[in-house]
Amino acid sequence: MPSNRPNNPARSKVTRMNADQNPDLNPRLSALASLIVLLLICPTISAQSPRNTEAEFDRFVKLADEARLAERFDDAISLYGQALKVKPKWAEGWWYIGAIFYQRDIYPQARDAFQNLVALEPERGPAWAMLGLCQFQTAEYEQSAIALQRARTLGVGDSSELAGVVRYHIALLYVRFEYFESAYDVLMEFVRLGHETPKVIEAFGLTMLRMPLLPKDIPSDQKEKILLAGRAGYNMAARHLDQARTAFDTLLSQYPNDANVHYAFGVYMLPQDADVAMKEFKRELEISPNHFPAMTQMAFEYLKRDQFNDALPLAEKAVQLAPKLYAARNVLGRVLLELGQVDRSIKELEEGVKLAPSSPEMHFALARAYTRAGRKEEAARERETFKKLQDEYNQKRQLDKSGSPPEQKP
Amino acid sequence: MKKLVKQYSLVAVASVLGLAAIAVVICDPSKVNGQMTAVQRWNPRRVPADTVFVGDQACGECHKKQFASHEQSGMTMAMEPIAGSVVLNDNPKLSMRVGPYTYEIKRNGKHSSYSVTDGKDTVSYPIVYAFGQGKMGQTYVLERDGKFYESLVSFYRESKSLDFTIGAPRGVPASLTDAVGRLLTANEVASCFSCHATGAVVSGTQLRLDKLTHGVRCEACHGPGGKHITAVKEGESPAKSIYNPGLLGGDELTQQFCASCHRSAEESRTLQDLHINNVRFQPYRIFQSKCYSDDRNISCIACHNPHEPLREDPAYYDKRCLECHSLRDKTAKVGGDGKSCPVADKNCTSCHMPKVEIPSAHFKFTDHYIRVVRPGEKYPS
Repeated sequence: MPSNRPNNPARSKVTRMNADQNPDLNPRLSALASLIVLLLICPTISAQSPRNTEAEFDRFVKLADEARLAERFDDAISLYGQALKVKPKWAEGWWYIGAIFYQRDIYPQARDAFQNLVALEPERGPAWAMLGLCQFQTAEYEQSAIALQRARTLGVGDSSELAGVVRYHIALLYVRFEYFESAYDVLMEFVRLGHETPKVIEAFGLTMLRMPLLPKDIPSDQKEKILLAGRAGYNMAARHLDQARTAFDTLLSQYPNDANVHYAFGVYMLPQDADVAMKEFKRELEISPNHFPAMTQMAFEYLKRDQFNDALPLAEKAVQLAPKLYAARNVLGRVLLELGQVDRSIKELEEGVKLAPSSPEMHFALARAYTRAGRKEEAARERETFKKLQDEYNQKRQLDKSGSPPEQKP
Repeated sequence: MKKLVKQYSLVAVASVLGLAAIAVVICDPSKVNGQMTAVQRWNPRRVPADTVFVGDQACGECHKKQFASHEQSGMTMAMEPIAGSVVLNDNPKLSMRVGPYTYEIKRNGKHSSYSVTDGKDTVSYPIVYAFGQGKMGQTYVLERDGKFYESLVSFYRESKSLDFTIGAPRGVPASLTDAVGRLLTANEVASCFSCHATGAVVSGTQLRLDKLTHGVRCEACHGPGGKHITAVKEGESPAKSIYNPGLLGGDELTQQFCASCHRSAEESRTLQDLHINNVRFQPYRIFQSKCYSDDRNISCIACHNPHEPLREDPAYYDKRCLECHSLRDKTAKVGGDGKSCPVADKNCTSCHMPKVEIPSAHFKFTDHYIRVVRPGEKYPS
């Protein structure tokens, strides 16, 4: 999991779940399964098989391909398996076996096949994607998140559908692990693509309400609230501010005392009317006294207003409650710097940088603190890191904007 | 708080015990700043609620030279009073047509009105605030039912006419209401007034328009002058009672103090999306330069005196470059130790800080990203 986003140190360990406890997600994957079937029966795929001079291997491959194309999948699995016994490093064989198992919803075996594949070809993005999706189904969520992230880093090839499925699942996993800000960022990609589907709205709802649940685990009495929050979140992300406001107004009137509702509305209001946002954060703290994200937001706002003494206790409490939340370290470090407590500020900001080494703002803040302390070389180094990270971020955004192929809706 | 007191006590003890340490503090202004308390610190956009400004005239009684030159500076003219508006006086009737809508800005004595008609209905508002000195142009803020709107069209000096405001949608508005302009959010209102006026916003967001002084005046940057005047009258050290941003370290001055209005590199994520329009944000741009550092020789005030009108002659800026860079003639007695330019010894900014035109602004801005600019090079946003 990335460390550059707020997380909750109090989060529970991953609970293992059985794949068949996960019916909500199976329809989600049906489109992907169709894609895999297409891949399996597509003759061009078999042309990608490496030529092998060993007669036995060739014979198994030929028979396996025939079985696969004839949709005799049990035979195909057996024959690919025999080919792999002859040549265990035959990557395409693992791909076919994994894909057949996946298509037949036999996820543990599919996972093992893709595991072998990524061991052979660690730079193969689609293999990591399939591995992550299998692990999602076998409820190995941490491993799934790692694999799906790796797939996104490497790229999943030309399949926009696979990209969409990976994106959706990584967003769900961020929600599951309480990396809500990261989930929001990923879901933003759906907004940019205009994919306003019920599943995306639902994922937005979980994110906005900071509910670390998978869709299958949503209690029925919470669904309406989540969808309402999701519509608010989607429209907020799409900058449809009036529609977002309408959804927020309904959400607030129907669930005025529910956790995270006021926080979500505060986040929406913050760029528009900081005073209103602050009232909402305060209300959230009345409902949820340990709401460290609200504390962090308020501390940042007080910092902006030079109300350092108001910011300090909130920032300190946020760090105490969520020591691994880099944003809390960031605001505490900045407040301390303004209060002249340079050494303590540096300590907090250095900790923040450790937690979020790829966060440009952390490096910027640390550069300022080093400058104030007269540590010129370290300040210059942090400024350079900030610049580098900003450039990388900018390049990635440009790619996201211009380079993404059109995708099917997840 | 106890800790803070303890920290300062330790500083006091250290200063008694170590003369060398004192020397360092005196020589390095950033060290001085490092010891500033929160009370002493000042930020133009973070005016506390209880702040009382004495006004420029009071400052001008002693600081005559700065007072006189600052009156003519772009800072002072960041907002024009409507009654004395040079732009509106010199251009008594401005009009523009967008689809079915006709805009008209009309002078009537000391007042100006902004009206839009679609041929059937007309809406007209008195212009209450004129943002900008008119060097590039001027945008208007209108008040309607207690809400503020940014005019859809602005005045541009180059063409002496109206055109769309920078950033405004350039299509045909959907309705007469939309045609007037954009409703400003509370944050935007606070942001506009806190950077273009003095004393208009306190506590970050609260408008105090009855106390507004047009433009960025002495106390916008130096903080309230009351205690300072009293201190001077009572024979106390005047420097301790007024904030002097000139003592800040280069990076803090540029990226925090000046950037509170002119936008810092930390806002890169937003600014990069503005593409060529971000050339207007100098602290952000200069931060990209290879030679950028905490050195005060590369800070805003190394080249600009905020108390004076902006200097336009390239020769003036050459001297600033030569604070660090050497001339090609190594025997010359001017110039620093830094690398010399292989091409020329003068007009440095013409090549290294080229002017970039923002078409929608009808104006060329100096790009503060100091670099070797190749012909035809794409604007590095």
